[in-house]
Amino acid sequence: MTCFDGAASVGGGREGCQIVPARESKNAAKAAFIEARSVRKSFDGVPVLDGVSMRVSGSETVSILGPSGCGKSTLMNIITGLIPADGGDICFAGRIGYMQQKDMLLPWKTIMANVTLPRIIGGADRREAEAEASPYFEMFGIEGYENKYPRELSGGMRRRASFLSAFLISGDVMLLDEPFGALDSITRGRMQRWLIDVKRKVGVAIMLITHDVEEAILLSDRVYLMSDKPSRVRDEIEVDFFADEKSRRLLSPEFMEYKKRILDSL
Amino acid sequence: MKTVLTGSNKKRRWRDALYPVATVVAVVAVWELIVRAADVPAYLVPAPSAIALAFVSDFGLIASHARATMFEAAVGLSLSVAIAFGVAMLMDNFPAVRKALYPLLIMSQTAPVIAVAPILIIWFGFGALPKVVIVVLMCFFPICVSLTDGFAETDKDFLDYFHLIKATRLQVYRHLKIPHALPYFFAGLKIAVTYTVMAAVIAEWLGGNEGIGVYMLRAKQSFALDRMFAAIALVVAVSLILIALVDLAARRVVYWKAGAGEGGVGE
Ligand SMILES: Nc1ncnc2c1ncn2[C@@H]1O[C@H](COP(=O)(O)OP(=O)(O)O)[C@@H](O)[C@H]1O
Ligand SMILES: [Mg+2]
Repeated sequence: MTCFDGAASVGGGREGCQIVPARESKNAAKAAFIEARSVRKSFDGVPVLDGVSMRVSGSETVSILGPSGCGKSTLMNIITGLIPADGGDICFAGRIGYMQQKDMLLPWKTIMANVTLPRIIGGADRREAEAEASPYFEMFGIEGYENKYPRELSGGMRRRASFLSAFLISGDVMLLDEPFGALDSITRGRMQRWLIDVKRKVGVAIMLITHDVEEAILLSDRVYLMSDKPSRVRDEIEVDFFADEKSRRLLSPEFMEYKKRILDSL
Repeated sequence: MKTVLTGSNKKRRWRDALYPVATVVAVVAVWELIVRAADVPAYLVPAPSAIALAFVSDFGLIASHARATMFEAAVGLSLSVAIAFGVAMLMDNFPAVRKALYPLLIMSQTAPVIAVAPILIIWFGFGALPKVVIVVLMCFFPICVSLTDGFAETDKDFLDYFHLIKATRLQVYRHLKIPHALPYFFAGLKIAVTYTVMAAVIAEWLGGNEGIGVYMLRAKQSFALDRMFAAIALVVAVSLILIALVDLAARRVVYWKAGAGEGGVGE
């Protein structure tokens, strides 16, 4: 069963994220949320999600931290409506922007054409969609790449473009599935700081999927710890130090305390 | 944005082209020498110079026959592309159609077209139509199969993404499947154009009153082997030009695939 909340999701359903003019959705941001209640899912009789509940709202960043194969991407796909759950509820208000593990950038389209694709598919005028996307290129640090093709960009730059693409679908709530998992560690660190910075500018709610303990502590306001499959939420941890200056977290003593606590719990 | 061919890349392509050209020049030279030295009669093996002469002196006639052949080839190839797109999209959209047609398509390729051609002439007469049909029979298949593969191999994650952003079937084709299948299409088209002109010529051979095939038949009947070879050379030259054109078009249209090994910029 599924429940919906608020007018924003009417017609959108769980078939996927709904495309709305970016300007509209950004103003409606504060009421947006996603909630999963006791979501269960098996593949071929093998239980993967065994009653997972979680919530993200407002402009918080919430991490779902769990080992590879525990069903994090499966949960994402259920939330976006790509696959059905066997049981439990998904509730959400607002539109969901979804950034996959892998870059969803078409190699035959420029970065501008790629990030505006959802709007074009939704029937928007190309020039209007581009005008809307334009200012964010600078904000997200990819100005000058508008007319480049994906293969001309580095992995980190492609991630930024993917993030922009998801953000243009919805500036309310974003699901990021291991956004930096495929990057080298130096680029990953740079991109984490970039995300903190961008997040502060646009104030969107983020549900971040990761298997990296340090990434979860660095970026999150709250962390859900997932067990191995069949997985449930094993623990929920509030991360409340340097909440407004997350980039300073990495070198503070609290960081180690949180890390120890999470590692003990896993 | 155009294909970025770096200078050295371009130079290498020219250098690579030198090898077959040099081979052909050498073979022609040896051929000419042997024919002259051994005094081989022209009705058995004409010298390359005699063939060139025949081509020049008979150019008006060859050109008018060539026009008919080129017409058949052009219409046949265009129809092949159109039908291939239609059938490939049908098979891609309806698994039942795919299961029904795909094996039949392959089976149809084992039927000897040369044997079918006389029947087509009985049905369609001596005009251009049976020739066009034969060109389609030969050229449709490689294009259709490569397009079908191109559609079928579209990345599942991209299909999910398009589903997520609520794209219609037509939009999926326009923005995803067709661009993705274009390199496959050009690979099939390249194979198809290598036999396009030949197919038209063979069809003319089996009955008709104009075309390079008819010209060849008449040259053969009067033992004018020099003109016969001139016609063969023309078929080869036109086919090579077609292949080169397809290559050129492929590089322009599939610009985004070129330049492998170019590193990323930024970061
Ligand atoms: N479509 C599917 N069919 C069968 N098994 C699947 C499917 N998708 C995922 N799984 C299985 O479910 C488990 C969780 O996968 P996934 O959600 O991708 O994990 P994670 O993203 O946490 O690494 C894995 O064991 C995987 O093999
Ligand atoms: Mg995953």
